[in-house]
Amino acid sequence: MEGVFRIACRESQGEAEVLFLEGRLGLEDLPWLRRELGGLPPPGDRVLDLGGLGVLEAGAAAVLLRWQAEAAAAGRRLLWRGGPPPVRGILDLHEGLPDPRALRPAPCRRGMLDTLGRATLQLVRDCGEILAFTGALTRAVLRTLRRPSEMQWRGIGGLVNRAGMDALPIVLLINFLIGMIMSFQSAVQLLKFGATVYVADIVSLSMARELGPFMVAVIVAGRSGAGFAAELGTMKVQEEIDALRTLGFDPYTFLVLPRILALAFVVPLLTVLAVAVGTLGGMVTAVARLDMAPAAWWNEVHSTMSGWDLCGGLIKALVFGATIGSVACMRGLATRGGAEGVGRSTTSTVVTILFLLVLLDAVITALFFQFEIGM
Amino acid sequence: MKVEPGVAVQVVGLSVGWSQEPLLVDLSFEVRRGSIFAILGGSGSGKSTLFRHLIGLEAPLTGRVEIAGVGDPLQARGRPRFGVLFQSSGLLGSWTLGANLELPLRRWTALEPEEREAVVCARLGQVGLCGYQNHLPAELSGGMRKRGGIARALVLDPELVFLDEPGAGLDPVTAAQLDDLILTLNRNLGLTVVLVTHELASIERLVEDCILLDREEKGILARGDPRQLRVESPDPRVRAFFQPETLSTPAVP
Ligand SMILES: Nc1ncnc2c1ncn2[C@@H]1O[C@H](COP(=O)(O)OP(=O)(O)OP(=O)(O)O)[C@@H](O)[C@H]1O
Ligand SMILES: [Mg+2]
Repeated sequence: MEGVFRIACRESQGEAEVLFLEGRLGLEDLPWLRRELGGLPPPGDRVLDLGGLGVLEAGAAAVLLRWQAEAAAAGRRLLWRGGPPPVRGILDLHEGLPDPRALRPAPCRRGMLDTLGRATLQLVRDCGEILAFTGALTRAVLRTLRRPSEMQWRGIGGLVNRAGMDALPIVLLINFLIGMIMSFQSAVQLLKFGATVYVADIVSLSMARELGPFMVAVIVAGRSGAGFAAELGTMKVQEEIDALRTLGFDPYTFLVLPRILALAFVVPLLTVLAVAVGTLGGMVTAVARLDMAPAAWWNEVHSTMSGWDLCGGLIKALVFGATIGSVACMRGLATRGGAEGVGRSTTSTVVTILFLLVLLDAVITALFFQFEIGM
Repeated sequence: MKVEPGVAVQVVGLSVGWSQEPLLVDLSFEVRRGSIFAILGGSGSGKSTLFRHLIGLEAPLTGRVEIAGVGDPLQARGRPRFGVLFQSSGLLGSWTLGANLELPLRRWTALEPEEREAVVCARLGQVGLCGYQNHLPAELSGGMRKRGGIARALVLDPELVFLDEPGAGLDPVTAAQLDDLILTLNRNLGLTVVLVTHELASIERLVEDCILLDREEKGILARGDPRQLRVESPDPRVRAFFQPETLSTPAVP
């Protein structure tokens, strides 16, 4: 019953052109059969004689029926006759199915106004989401304060390890290099005034107040922020979050709070190290390029940096860490759809965090300046 | 090694499992062309694992699998010669159901868009999903996703399909319609079907040949026609699998 598909012979019977088919008719034979049918002289019916056909594959039968409908729409006729029981059996499989063309979605075209409206609604929804998240988080915090045993305290250790220890090499490397670059750039300028000793001030203060916390936050956002969003997003998509709820766990206490706490702890910790290696990097450049003695460098750092400078940086780092954790968890829990939804959440997490970091940095710096903390 | 004529899948000395801990040892069996073959066994007996080896997703510890017209499925390239339904359906989540079915047609056939649409709709109609081509998998029920997965496994009209629990999660009527479809394709196209299933009703109706896997034995407990095994097997474990109602029920005090 197998055999290659072919047209055994063709005949004109009155008005009709008859093709005698043979072998196994499958999807790959259809383009050829389509060309053969199209090449027949225009008037009259086309008749496919299926008597010699061994096998008609199901997909090919669907296409034959479509051709029949198309021919009818064009005022011609495509017919078939005969066929052994297996072939008829496959043709019968498609009897009575609706025409798919009726099921096509109506094309939707969006105007400017429509797009604007949708964007506004999305913004409103986003704000609602933030409020709902804040509310649920506050409730989780209160509950944890009342009954600390409900929290996954032991889970925090693992999270701190993943977000902190594993990020240590990249944090140290990047901040060391940043310190070197800062030192070099400011030395070029200060040399003009013979004030190279102030390189130490510039490097250490900017590392402590700005660059340390910010660089660490950016690294942690890229690593852990994206990671947490993808993790929670996948859990959401696979109904794991819903399952947790049915088991009597609040996902905010169980998943969100530990992550926020972990990052609020890790980012300041990494910042301390970042400031230290950044200043060290600055010294390396200064010693190599400006012939500064290491002791002179550290004396200068010691005399300009107050505890408040470092404190200000650490407060920033704390806020950054909590923000990264919150945004990542919020976006993760808001994931919808499948794998693509997880990708969207992860992307929007990183973008939102980067924007918020800059915004918060500006706000906190302004507040410090206003209240003369560490200025 | 070439498969013998009349054989669709040949398994020789296959051991599967994880490095230190083989799950199934030294399996040998063959699936005849045009037959409906079932892999049976208790939950966790290694059916899905064997299934993944049959379709060439995993390399066996020892032994080999040969598929007629393909050879070693691990090395299979080009137009897929067999269709696969995964236990969790495996539909692409960010594509509509229709796009999921159209994807292989677009890649492996030279059909016009209109013709592809006709094939997709007919295939979905066969599994009772006509009109759902514009839905995302996330917008379908579990049983509907399963049926969508079956439609996608069949869309290229392969001569061999592997189905992991096609009837799981379906109501009895839909499950019976699915069995009808499998029978129709098997009778009229000579489709060879290798399926993993627990549904005794479908086993009764469809399956001509089976192997029954067992966790303790690390291999095949019984093989043959389930209708015969059911009554004639000397092993009480085999009879119990096919007739769970004969297991003694605890007396109600
Ligand atoms: N990646 C893995 N690593 C280690 N063990 C595994 C892995 N995947 C499955 N197993 C083990 O192999 C065994 C068989 O799993 P498999 O999924 O093949 O079962 P199954 O027979 O299909 O069961 P079910 O009917 O429940 O689907 C199980 O005991 C499982 O714990
Ligand atoms: Mg399984």
